[in-house]
Amino acid sequence: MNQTDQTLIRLEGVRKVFFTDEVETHALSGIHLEINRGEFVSIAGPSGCGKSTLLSILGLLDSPTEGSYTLNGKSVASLSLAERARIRNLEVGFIFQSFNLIGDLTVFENVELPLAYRRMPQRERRERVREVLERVGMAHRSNHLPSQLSGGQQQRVAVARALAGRPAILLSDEPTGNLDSKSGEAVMGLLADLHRDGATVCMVTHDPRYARCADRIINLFDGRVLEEVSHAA
Amino acid sequence: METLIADLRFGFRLLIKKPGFAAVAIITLALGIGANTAIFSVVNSVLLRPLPYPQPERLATFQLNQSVPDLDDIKNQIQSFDYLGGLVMQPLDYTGAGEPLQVQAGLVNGELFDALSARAAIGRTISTEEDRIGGERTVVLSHAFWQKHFGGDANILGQLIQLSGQTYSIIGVMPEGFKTPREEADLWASVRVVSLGAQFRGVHFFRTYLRLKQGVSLAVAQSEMENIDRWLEEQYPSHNKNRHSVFIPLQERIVGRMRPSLLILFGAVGLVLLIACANFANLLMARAASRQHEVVIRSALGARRLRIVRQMLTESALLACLGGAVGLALAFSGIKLLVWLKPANLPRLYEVGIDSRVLAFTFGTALLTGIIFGLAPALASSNVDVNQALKEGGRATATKHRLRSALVILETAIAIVLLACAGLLIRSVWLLGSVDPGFKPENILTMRVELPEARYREITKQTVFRRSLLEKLNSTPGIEAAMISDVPLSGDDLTHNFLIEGRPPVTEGEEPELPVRSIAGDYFRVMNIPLIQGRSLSDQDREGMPIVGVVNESFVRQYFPDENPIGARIRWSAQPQVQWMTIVGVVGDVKHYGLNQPEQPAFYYSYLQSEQPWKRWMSLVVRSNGDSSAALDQVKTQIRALDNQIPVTRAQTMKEVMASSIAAQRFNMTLMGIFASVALLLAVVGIYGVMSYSVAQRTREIGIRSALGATRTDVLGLVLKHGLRLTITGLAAGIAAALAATRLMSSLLYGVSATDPATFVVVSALLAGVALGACFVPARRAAKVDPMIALRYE
Repeated sequence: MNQTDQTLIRLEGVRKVFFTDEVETHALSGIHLEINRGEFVSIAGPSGCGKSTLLSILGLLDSPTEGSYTLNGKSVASLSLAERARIRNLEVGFIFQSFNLIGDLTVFENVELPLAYRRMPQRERRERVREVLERVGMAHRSNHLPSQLSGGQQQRVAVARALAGRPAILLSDEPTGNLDSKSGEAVMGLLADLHRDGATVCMVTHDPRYARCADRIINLFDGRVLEEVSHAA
Repeated sequence: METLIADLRFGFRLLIKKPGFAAVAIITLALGIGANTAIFSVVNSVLLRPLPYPQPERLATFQLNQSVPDLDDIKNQIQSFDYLGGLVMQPLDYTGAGEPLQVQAGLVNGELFDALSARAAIGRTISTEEDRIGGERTVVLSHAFWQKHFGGDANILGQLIQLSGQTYSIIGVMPEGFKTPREEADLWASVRVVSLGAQFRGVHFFRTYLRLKQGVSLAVAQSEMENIDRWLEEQYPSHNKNRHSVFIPLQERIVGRMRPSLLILFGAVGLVLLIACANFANLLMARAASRQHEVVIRSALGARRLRIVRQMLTESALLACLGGAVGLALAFSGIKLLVWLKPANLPRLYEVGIDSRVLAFTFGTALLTGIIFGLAPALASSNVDVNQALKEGGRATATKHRLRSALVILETAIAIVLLACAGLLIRSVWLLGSVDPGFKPENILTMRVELPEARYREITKQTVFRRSLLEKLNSTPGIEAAMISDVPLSGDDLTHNFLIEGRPPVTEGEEPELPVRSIAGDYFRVMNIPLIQGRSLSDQDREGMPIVGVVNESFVRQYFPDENPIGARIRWSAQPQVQWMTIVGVVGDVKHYGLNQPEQPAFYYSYLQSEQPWKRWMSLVVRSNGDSSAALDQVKTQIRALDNQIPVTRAQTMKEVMASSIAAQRFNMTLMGIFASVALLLAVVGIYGVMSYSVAQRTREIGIRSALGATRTDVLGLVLKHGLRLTITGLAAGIAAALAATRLMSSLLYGVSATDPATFVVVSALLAGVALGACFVPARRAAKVDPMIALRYE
């Protein structure tokens, strides 16, 4: 496998500026970043350093003001809304801090959601959902509503939902932020397992304990990469 | 009291702070309450308010009109009544000053005014002594006539007035506003003095107004009447055979037939109010949701639930009362509209207005609406777990969503019921409008001419006038043809009992009735009524020649189903001298009694051969070259040239006559259409409100879906599907309810069944389409939700 094949994400000179009431806020300033396939990267830094903005750009929820972004060999910085939605659905799996499960849908339906948007046939969808729920140990709660689950269980369902579409990368935003330490560790263990099985993970966290689970830690400060620490090395 | 004032003050402050919310809530309720007030004012005036006579509960009437001699006999024998009044309307020509004018005279017996407990404002009314054949010609004026034609002259008594060529002495003026129960009379005179018909037992033209003795019930009077009926039948079998006199309360007689359609309209407008209330409740719930934080803080500070509920109820009652006030203003316009629509068969229309009962209804409805429909939102929003609510930040719960959705389903269901009712009525009127009347109404002008008795008592004089008039008119430029007859759909109707030559004898008094129409001129050609068999009537069919007539197809179907009627002879059963009349032709049926009524057997014969000197009235029918008003001027000129003291009245085109004949149906349709439109508007506003609210509440969820890859089309579909689900549920419930409700109005329909599938499909499609449109705006808003929202909520 050559260098290009290994690179899943490449950001070059990415800047993000927010304009509000004639005030410019530079959230990101000249970010250069590469994430390889199968890598577990942690993005760390204090509040307001641009972690979430970076994650939203990586997840195609937002576009950079400047710079280029290549995902899986394709430039995605200036795609249409529909095209971005399609790539988000196919290539990205999100795990949010507050789980973001839809309260009126069952566990099964929540996990099924990204596959439904992909217009995947129902039978295939069901098999895939059952498979990922078993993997995260939540198959027995398929018919429950999120409100009937504990925080840790909800996050495991969120992980299952992110995995269901077999995305190129899992983007995780403070996945343990709303959990007690025991549940947090369980979720981190799950992410570590997924990584060991070959998944590419990019996680935003401000907790150094969890950041250390990653192969590489990227420290942000004032919208710039302050340093990169590679554990694997 | 102090807390109530504080709550009211706080409520006002909130309304001022959120003027948009206040305006929508007030307008929503105002539409519902205004429409209800307007219709209630009609129901109140027509059905609920007692008749405007002293002790109106003692007033009764015979179900059928009586003849003057029969009423005299009844009066002599019956004990249950204080007074037995009677009245028949007859137009008289007033030739006091300027152009001759037709006035409406109430020809009364001597007990009419006593029966109604009415006294003259000036002078006196007609007494029993004056009401006799050959008596002095006296007249009592209405207040309006006195003002208009005599300028309210205080010395009116004893003045003379010329009516149809006779001189009458004025003996009284009635108080302002006095009317007899069902008539609009300009003046009153003695029936026996003015009308020849008062002498005949067979002329049942007298409307009766009877006053029961104090404490006597109508049931007692009815049992007493049975004996008198038997006596009348024995004494006068030819006129009273099988004639059963039935008493009914006067109020019931006047308004009874209007009750079903008025109650249907009242029910319909009640449904409009229910939709408005559902919207109002939805608005209150949305506002309560936005004030959840305030409620939580109040609870945290120690407010009891009851206190919070009371405050919210005060606010909703305040809103509802403001809605009631605006609704009352709308009702004033609504009542003007109702009076302008002038439903021809709606009695007591002149009494419709806002009185204390209507005011009580309006504000009672408003207050109840505010309390009942404010209660659920108040209870729901006051039922908070303070700790949990503070953590959740006041997000709406699924229960509240379900309640709001249920209200929208209810609104949709009610709207479909009203739309179905309106749709069926619109179809009925449309079908009525396209009914073939049996003649061609284009370019036909009709008018009424009445020859004054004083100068046209003899039939020869009448004949000369008719013939001269037709000759003049038929040679007048702009007039294609003119003739005289009884005009279809105008209410003209005269019947005779008859016998057919050679048929088995019929018991006296049981001879069948036959509508009879006298014609002069080429009636069938002018009206384009097809001649089916035989010949039409001509100028040769005149006095001194054998009497001939033309029958219609219904006559043939009923009396000559398997025989040729041409050459057959009939005669009137009550004739001093037997005169057979030969049938010489058969013409097509016309819709004489109403576009929705089947034609009856009818007999047409020439004025020249009809020995009816008392039938001095006639309807002139003119086919013009196109300009009706010019033709009318021509007719008036020609009539004046013959006799400058004969007024022309009731000038209408035949199309106007036809339109008038379905005015009642059109009135019902118009009102139901207005109610259905308001219901549709309110339902759409309701659906829009709930969908907008739902989208606002689901912003985060929509953001999450977008983050997971939902495209704008997916989100658009999600919201539209939600709206459609509510709409379809409402439609299903509404169609089920409408299938039951529309059966209640079967009697108001024509040519369409109460469950007409086409109407139901059309109104359902209309509602679904409009509802989808209402969902589209919030759906587009949802499709624009930034997926970043999923992260921002972190």
